Amino acid sequence: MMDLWYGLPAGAQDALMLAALIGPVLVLALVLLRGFAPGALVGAMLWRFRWPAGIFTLVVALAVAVGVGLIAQERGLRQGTARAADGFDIVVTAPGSEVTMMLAAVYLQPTDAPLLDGATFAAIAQDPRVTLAAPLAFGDSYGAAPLVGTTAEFVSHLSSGPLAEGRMFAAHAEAVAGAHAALPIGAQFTPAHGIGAGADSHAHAHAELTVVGRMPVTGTPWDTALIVPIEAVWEVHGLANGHAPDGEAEGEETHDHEHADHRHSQAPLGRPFDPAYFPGTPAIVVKADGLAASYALRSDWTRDQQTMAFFPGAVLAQLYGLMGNLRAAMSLIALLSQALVAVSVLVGLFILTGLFARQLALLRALGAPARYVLAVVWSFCAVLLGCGAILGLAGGFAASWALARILSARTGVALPATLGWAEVHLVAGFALVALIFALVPAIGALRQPVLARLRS
Amino acid sequence: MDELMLQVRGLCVRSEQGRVLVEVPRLSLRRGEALGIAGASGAGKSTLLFALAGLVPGARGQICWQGQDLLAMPARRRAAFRADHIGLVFQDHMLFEELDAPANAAIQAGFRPRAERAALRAEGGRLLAALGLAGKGADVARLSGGERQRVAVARALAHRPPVLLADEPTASLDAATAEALTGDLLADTGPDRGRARRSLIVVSHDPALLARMDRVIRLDHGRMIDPAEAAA
Ligand SMILES: Nc1ncnc2c1ncn2[C@@H]1O[C@H](COP(=O)(O)OP(=O)(O)O)[C@@H](O)[C@H]1O
Ligand SMILES: [Mg+2]
Repeated sequence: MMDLWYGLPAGAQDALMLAALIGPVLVLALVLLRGFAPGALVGAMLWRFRWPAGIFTLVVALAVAVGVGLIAQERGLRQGTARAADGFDIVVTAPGSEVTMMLAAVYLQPTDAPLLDGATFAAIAQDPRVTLAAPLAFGDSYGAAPLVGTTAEFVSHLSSGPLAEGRMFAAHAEAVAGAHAALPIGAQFTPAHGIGAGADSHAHAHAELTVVGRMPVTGTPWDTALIVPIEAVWEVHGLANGHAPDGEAEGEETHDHEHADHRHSQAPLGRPFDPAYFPGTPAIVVKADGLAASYALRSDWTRDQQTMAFFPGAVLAQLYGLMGNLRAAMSLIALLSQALVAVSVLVGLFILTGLFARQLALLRALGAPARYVLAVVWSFCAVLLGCGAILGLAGGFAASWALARILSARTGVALPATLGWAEVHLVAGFALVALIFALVPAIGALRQPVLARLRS
Repeated sequence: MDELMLQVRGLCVRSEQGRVLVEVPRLSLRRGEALGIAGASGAGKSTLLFALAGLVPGARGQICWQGQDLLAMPARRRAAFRADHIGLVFQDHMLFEELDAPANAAIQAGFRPRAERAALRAEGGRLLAALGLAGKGADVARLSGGERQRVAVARALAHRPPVLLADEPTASLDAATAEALTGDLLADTGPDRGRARRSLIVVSHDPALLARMDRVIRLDHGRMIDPAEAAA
């Protein structure tokens, strides 16, 4: 039996689960309503008590929306952050905290990290299993946009294709803007030292950079950044630029020099770097030739006191595992609050059915079967709960969509806002419990003394 | 001899505290007969009337309608019996304010078998028209007291019950309206009519109404003042 269940495709499992939640409601409705036509009376009562009924429905919708929004948002965050790490197969840094270095490299969170030297970079870059090795340099900014130094090769890799606009930087004083960065092509800017309120905008007054291209949307915080050749970052800090001065250059020149008017245009750009003139990099992003090579590289470059190599995806998975424990603790609290919501729903239903206690007593005096009275009360409650559940599902989705948009704009991490089976199951489960609850005031109405109700 | 419609034996209703509210050793009613129940306020008239409809939980004894003892029935059959055989009119109309007059008159359509619904609605409409309410009563709250009570009469008769029970139906009406309504209540009653006749029991202290009844019993502290009135 279990084997059969686990053998089903995920979509079929989810659909069956939904059917299992909705089925009992349909059976209950059929048992209660069969042979009766309570629609006219229930519709008229809904219209007559539209204000209290509407307020009750909104409260139910709000409670459902909070649950739906939380689930959708949590999944969106998980998917969005994971997708943002996709372009970062392996990151090599100095030993330290993997989480801190992942946040710095993938999510551009400022941190002070020790640097890896030129020899280390050269060794990684020359490894035959490595298909891409890019040094990163952080720490500067322009306005709200962090400035990242790297190679043209990595910009192309992260863009997974050509740029959206303009061209790649080809000189030290050129920059490529992230998809959502505020600067247009052609804009000139002087980077500030540091990031945020403490940034020093005069430290690099001699350096002026020009935006020459724009990356496509990558769904990563890099979308808000300004990306420059790593040589430019080194130079504005008064360091060597990674290449031997003219005439001493080793290795082939990989870039043409069509922009001869720029200050450093004669200096080479990108790999290979000269270890003797390599000022250091806090993080190297590495892409390996295949999965086996990735694992081999990670273990090869995890060396005591020297380097640390990690998969950002695996670090994220660890973080989610941690948050999973947190979620378990939270869900206990959530369960308690759900119980509170359930009690409020029950109280609300009792108050609402109390509004038409006289009509129910009258129906019974006129000889209506008890099941008909149950059907009237239950249908009334079911309409409110059903509307509340559907409104809540829509509202929760809308809220999580809006929140995802705001968070995306703030962090650059593209957060997908989707309606998943988990939310649908939550709402269907809520509806099932609430509609069974709705029987309680209906049965309560039947226990009222008919005559006393008619005389009062 | 006309057939016996109702036969009450040893009916006793006590309050929860054990006080006797109504005690009627014998009472009977023939088909087509109109019976008035009179008495001072608090004498137990309403209690007796609702007991006859099987609506008073503390009632003991026998209430046989056409030979079937209402008090011996389980609650479910008692409700079904009411829906089939008894029409009820209350002192303060007791309409469904959220429904229009035709829907009030055909209230049983909600729980009757599908096959009977159309006839029920047609009869409700016919009665409303006969009572002078054709085209009226989209909003029953706007009707006058007399009109509202006539909607209640249409509702009580739409399922063609053989007996109509009314509790002070004219109490809130002026004399002329009360007289017209009394006529409506008495329609289809009487000793020899060509078709199936209806019995009527009306609680009232309106002398004009009581004067038009075939027979009147008087209650005092739940007991009949003149036991001779008990038999038809
Ligand atoms: N459920 C009850 N419990 C106790 N006393 C009741 C109940 N219903 C009615 N009574 C009492 O029974 C008496 C008869 O009431 P009722 O039948 O309404 O009188 P009437 O209709 O003749 O004015 C009154 O004293 C009333 O207070
Ligand atoms: Mg009374």
